[in-house]
Amino acid sequence: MAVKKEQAAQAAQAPPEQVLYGNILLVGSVTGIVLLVITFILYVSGAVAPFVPVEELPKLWEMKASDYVKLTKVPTGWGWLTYLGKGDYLNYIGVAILAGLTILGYLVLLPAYLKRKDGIYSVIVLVEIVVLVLAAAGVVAAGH
Amino acid sequence: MLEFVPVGAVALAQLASAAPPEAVGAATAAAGASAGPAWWVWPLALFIFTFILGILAVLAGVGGGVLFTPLVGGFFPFHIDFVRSAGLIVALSGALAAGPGLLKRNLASLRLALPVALIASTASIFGALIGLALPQNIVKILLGATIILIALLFVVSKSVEFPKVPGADALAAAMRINGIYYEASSGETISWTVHRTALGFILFVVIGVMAGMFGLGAGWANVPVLNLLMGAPLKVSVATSKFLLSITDTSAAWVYLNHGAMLPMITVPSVLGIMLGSFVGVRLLAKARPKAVRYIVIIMLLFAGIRPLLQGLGIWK
Repeated sequence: MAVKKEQAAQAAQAPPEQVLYGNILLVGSVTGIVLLVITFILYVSGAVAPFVPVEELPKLWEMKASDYVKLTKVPTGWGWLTYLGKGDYLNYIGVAILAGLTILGYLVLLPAYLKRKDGIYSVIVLVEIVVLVLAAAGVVAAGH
Repeated sequence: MLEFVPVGAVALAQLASAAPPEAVGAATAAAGASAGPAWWVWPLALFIFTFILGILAVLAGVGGGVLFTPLVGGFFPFHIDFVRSAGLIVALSGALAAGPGLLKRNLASLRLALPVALIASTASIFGALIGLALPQNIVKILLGATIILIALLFVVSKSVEFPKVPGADALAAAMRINGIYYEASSGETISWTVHRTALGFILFVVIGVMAGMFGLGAGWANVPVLNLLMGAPLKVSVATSKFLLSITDTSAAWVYLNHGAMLPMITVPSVLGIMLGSFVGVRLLAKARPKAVRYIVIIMLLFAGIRPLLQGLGIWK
């Protein structure tokens, strides 16, 4: 009975690329969240001065995002990278890691499907990488 | 009106004229003085609120994202743009944290998730763009109506642990959407496949648009489509849905990030509050009465839906 259970469990094992994807998510999400905690402490404690003073936020967070950007002239797109010396934009590192993990995971999946000559899934993974990279690159924007 | 313009170019132009902090202070002074509480009161309240939300979400078996956006959007002073972006990061963080275990135990299936994720994540980008372009009152009316619909779905929808699938349809067979997982409770391996694949894929377009537009986790919609419509076993549906959020919400989250619609002062306390609440919720799960908690969450959802709906209609400011 025990042997049968063991065989059943082995038969249902996840494919190696799925396990690797899972490991990437594990390491990345822990890193991202730990960074969020650290950078947020640096931000609210005032150890790293923010771009938008925290005292001003209650007047700003009621605004539409586009008005907030216009008024404060905060960076959009990847502009935050040049503001990492500011406490508020330091927090973007953790968020960007969390939002970038899926792209990294897909980059690992692609060679595995190509090697297996799994045409449909290779294309799906490739197109998803393109979609996520375009979204991350900020190629599209909403106008008014 | 949606238009496609390179955000990078806009960012560079803005960087060239970026304002120093003192200029920000002067600009906000022009926006009007706030006689409200100190700046840290709302983020602290948000952290406590999301901590409780995290506990309730686990006990009721729902994703925190679906409760977060309507409740925080309705009862906190933040603009819905910042709430939706925080809601997406909250749902994304939860999905990323749960993903490794679900993938390694083969409960979340990549063969099922990948095609669905491509459809939903592409649609969620358009949803996010629509959400950012629409006036706040329209978004609130649509959000309120959706949340009330979700609450009703929770009341009437039933899940099936092992739906009867007569066989894979042509599309599922061609894509080899099937799998096998170990059911620890019975010690058996369960083989599964899906049917009605094309219709399921079409519905994921709608789910993706709504997830991006409202900043909601979409587990409430993913699970019924995967389980009841396509016939995936309940555990596979729940696990694949959770994993799916990590992909769908990623694309929409980037749209909000690129538009400067992410305020760390709102996002970080929310993510940490929900996560800590979830840990506590998991520990309480053994002692709680899930049915009672589920009813509480349904009432909360109804309330959370009515609030933005009436706000959007201008009836309840």
